[in-house]
Amino acid sequence: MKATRRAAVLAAVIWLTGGALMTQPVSAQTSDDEPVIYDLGVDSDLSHSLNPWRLCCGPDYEYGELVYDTGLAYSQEDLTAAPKIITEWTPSDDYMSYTMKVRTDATWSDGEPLTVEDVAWTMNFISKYKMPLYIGYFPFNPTFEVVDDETLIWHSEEPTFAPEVPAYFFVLPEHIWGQFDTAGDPPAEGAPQSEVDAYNEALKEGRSAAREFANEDPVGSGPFILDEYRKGEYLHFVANPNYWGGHPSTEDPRAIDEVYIRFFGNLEAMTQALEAGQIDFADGLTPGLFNSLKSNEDVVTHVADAGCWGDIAFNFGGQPGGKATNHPALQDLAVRQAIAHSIDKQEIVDKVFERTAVVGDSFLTPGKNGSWYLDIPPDLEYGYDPAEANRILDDAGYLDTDGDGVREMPDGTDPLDFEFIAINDVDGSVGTGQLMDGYLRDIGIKMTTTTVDSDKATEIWGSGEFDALIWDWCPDPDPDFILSVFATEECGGWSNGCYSNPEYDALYHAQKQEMDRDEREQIIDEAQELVAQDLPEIVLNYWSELQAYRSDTFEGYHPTPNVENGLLMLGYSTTVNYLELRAVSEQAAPGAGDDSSGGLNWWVPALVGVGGIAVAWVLISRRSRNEDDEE
Amino acid sequence: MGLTPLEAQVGPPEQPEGTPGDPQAPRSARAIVWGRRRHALAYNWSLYRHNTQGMIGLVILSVFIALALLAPLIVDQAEITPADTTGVPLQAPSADYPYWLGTDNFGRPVLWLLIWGARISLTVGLVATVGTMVLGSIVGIAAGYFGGRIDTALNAFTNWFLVIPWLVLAIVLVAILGPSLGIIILVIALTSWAGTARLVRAQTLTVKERLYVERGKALGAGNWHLITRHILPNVFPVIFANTVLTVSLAILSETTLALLGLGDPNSVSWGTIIEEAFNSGALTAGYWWWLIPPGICIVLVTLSFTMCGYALDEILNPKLRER
Amino acid sequence: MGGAYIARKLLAALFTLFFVLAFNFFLFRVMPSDPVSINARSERLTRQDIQEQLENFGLLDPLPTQFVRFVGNTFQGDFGLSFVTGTPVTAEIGARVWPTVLLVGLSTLLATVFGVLIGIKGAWKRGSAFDTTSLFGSLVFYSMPEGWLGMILILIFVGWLGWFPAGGYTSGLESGFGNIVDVAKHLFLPCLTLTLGYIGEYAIVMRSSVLEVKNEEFVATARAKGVRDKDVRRHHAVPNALLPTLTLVFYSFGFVLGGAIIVEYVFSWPGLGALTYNAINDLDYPVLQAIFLLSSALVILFNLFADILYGYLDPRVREG
Repeated sequence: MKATRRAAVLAAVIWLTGGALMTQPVSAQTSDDEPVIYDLGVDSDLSHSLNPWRLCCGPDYEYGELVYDTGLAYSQEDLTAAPKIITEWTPSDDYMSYTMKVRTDATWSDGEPLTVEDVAWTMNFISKYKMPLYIGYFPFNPTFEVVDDETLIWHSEEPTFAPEVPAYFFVLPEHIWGQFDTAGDPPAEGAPQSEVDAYNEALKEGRSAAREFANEDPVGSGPFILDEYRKGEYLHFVANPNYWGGHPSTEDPRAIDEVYIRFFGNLEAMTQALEAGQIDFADGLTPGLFNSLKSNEDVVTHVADAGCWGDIAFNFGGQPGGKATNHPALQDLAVRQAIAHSIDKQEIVDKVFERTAVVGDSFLTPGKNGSWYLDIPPDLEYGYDPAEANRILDDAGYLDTDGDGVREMPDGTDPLDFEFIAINDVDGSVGTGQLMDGYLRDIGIKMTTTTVDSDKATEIWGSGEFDALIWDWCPDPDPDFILSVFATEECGGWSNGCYSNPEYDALYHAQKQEMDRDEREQIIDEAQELVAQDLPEIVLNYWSELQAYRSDTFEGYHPTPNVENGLLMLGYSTTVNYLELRAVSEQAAPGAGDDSSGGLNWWVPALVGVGGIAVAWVLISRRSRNEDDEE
Repeated sequence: MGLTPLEAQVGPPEQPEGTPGDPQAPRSARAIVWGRRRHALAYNWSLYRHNTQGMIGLVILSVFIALALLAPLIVDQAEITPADTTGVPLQAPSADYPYWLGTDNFGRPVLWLLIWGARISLTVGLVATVGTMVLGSIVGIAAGYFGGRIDTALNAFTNWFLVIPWLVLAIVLVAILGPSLGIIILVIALTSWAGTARLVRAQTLTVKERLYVERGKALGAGNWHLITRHILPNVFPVIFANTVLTVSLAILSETTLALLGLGDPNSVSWGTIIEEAFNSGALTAGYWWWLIPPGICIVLVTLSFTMCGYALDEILNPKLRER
Repeated sequence: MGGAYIARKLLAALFTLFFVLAFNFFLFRVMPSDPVSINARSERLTRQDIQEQLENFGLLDPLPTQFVRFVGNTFQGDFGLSFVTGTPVTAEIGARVWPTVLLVGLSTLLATVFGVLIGIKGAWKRGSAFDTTSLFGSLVFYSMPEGWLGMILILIFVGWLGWFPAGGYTSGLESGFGNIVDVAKHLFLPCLTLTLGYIGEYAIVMRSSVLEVKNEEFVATARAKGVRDKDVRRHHAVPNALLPTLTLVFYSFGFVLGGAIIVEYVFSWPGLGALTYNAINDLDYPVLQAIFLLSSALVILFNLFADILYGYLDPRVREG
């Protein structure tokens, strides 16, 4: 009688686990026409939607580059401009215009041909509506003129190297997105103000409408077509058989037919999935997880240069709005130097990043920015030397006059008490803050840390209510944007802390107007030295993207840029790997049933619920019977 | 056995001298009352001592409280400061003190983090509970005692706090006010007082109906007198047993908030240790010594509070004792 | 009499619901930041862009205007568009509701059934080895942070035994029956976590209410009349003791939802809990408001149900 009870409990357990145990070796056997599926794990969902105007983080660009084609690409070799939909681009002698050739063999996934008009329309739309995210690549109000069915001209108001940066944008079908281009032509010179206002309002509306479009069935020309997007679960793509380059899966049975990008709420689950072979690639691992994968012989771990740097940005004050609360001492180079000397960058790398980052020195990164990066000469660096830091502060007159362990201003008033902002959703920021606290204590500076989210940090950054930010930047491959972070004119814009130095501003503008690559590089080298010397911020480290993949399922990864620590996936132009990867064997990739309509339906919970009730009922009735037996 | 903190707490609150509206209470009467209470205490303690569950809880708690109080003497604070620690990061447990439980990613000894964390976790639990009790008792007694519209309004307010999803409210409040220890305590108190209020209100209603309150009212005693002299002492046993149970909930709430990344980033609690371990991949990487012990500490402490709470409930609620 | 009782309870419930509606509007409006700035750096949004976006969301209007609009829309069943995805909030929630119904529903069911069974047996054989063990076990699980319990289960069943996937809802590779099995596999650990998390509480409550009922007059009377022990239990004690436990199950629904947030987070379960967590991180007010309102409404509904049940089964309550 006890046994029957136990049997009932067992039945319940089996009902729940049984499936798990029975179906371990799922569908490993494949036939020739069974698709080859590639599974990529990432730690977050799309940040907004399937709208290509609102890409941000995580897998956003991966989605964009699989479904759409960019006008120009970053070369896989060194991230310089490479042909894609635009195949040739030739500047005029004065760099005021570029003649571009557009490929004519591309079609949209809805069957319409991709024309030069689509390309010109997309670029015009960005320039005219000042589309955020892309407008930075289209400086000096360019206009675009279609010459014939494979040629267009980029007209600029000033000499520019912008197209060669390259200008990054997704070519969109005018027949879909044209509906948002409703502002008409700009009012003529000298038109009444009301007309100008109405036009600006129309631009705003078009911009908002385009950015808010849900774009649930994206029509693109890229190598894959979006089959399904399940929020919180995955993106599913199938090969585009009409891809202009010819999709490899149409010929090679080992090429990828379908891609799943799966979102994991936490990295732990993602790592377990990689180990279990449920995914082929994992991105954005933490050092602990990454190191734990090294013992798995079917998994290859890869440290890639993320192309980002962690830094401490000082506030110089003067932000628009007049709410800045910067400490006057930070305007003194001596104090900034002393702080730089107090920091043990290597310890931060070792402890906060568990040795997966490298010590940094310049605001351009050695990997992504390639030859633009200047390895700052040692004599221009302020290395770890707390004694020197103390000496500098003593000499500059910052003494601890009241004996509380904290130095005061030379006039004996304010103590050196700085408010640091640590950001809890930025990798390493809080940990760096914890170590900084100790470094500054050693040189008689008090540090108060305020920990906030990055949205709050954005607000603080704008209002200037801080002394230093522990944050990061991820520069573009071209240095132009990141250079603006130290320019006076960007105060209230992209400027880190309203740093202002006429010498720097001159260099910033000179590089913008210098069309010669080598000349421009020299100017940018000078700017890097200047920043390293004058310390508007301290670059602490270049962190790495920790990636891992299974070597027993797919092979043929190419890093971008083509160096040992280039990114394998989720980087600039890494999507080419989806075309180049091959299944190790035809059997290796897990196959799927041909009916992909499964998944989340109301009847799944219903069935399981009914099952649960049935089990409960069985248990209860068994129970009662047992009671009878007992008496 | 000497006087434990528990006994001291069980006594009713000190009466303010010269409470107005109390001309009928001669000193000797008060002494009699106190004597009776002391006697009741001793009796209750003897009952408690024979409650195995309660005693086990009390012993475990005493150990943790002692550790928390002595933490500054046991723990070298430099070693649990990320900037100053000298340990090797992520070291597995070894026989060398204080590395019995290994180290975390900064090289801080997990053992010392746990001892230091006991201070924070217990403080959060206890202070939040006191807040919960004060809030819940005020609202509950006011609603039950005054009745009528006040009751209706307060009751609606209480009900409303009972139905809003506490964790969502807590997360939002922490996000608004910032994740510092004080705020976390406040938020826990704000999201958990309603249950106490309901309980206290019910008890107040019962007490109010009792005859001596009616008699007290007839003699012209003021509300304050009635509440402090008659309602509170009689409601107190219920509040107290509930308090001890609430500590468990408060500690668990703090853990939950910490696991979601809403702990105070500048202090070490058991919850934040688990969160850091989890986010550093302790599960896959196998840093079990970093993940498991803080959870066990939480279980032990909440379990002890719960066991003490049930024991007290059994003693202070005589209806249960008969069984 | 009964009608008046129900009407009074209903009115109170509606009043509470409106209070929640107003509160959750203002609660999210005092959040320290805005939903646009979060990724401003990565999205290269200038401060003008941020202002423009806020204006589009209607967040620059005066609060009373926003409030009137919000209440009006809500009464029409329009929860607005998600700030993050631009899709209707109802669709966002609709896509996530089933995984949570499955997870929370099944675990509540299992926790209730097993909790009640354990409680009855423990109480009836008070002091037996089973009682002591189950009471202690219940207390231990009751004292466990659910998130941590989930992690330990992952450690055992995924890392060590390798029986189950570590997270997610489906692998998306199966269809038909295979899909159900796939979901069940993914469901097992989060469901186990939540079930273990609540079983203790239910068992303890059931146990003490059986103990209470055991001493009541009618049970004693029944025994005195010579009714067999098991019949006393089945026909008198248990049905009466079940009431407080079921009431607790309904009342504690709000806590179960809280538990779902942390469990869904640990197991990457794509339900409402995970949606809530993400919405808080993204400050997606429309989604948060809808979740807040719906979950409060559910709890109110369940409370109302419990109240009415109580009032129906125990006439004394109606008088009080």
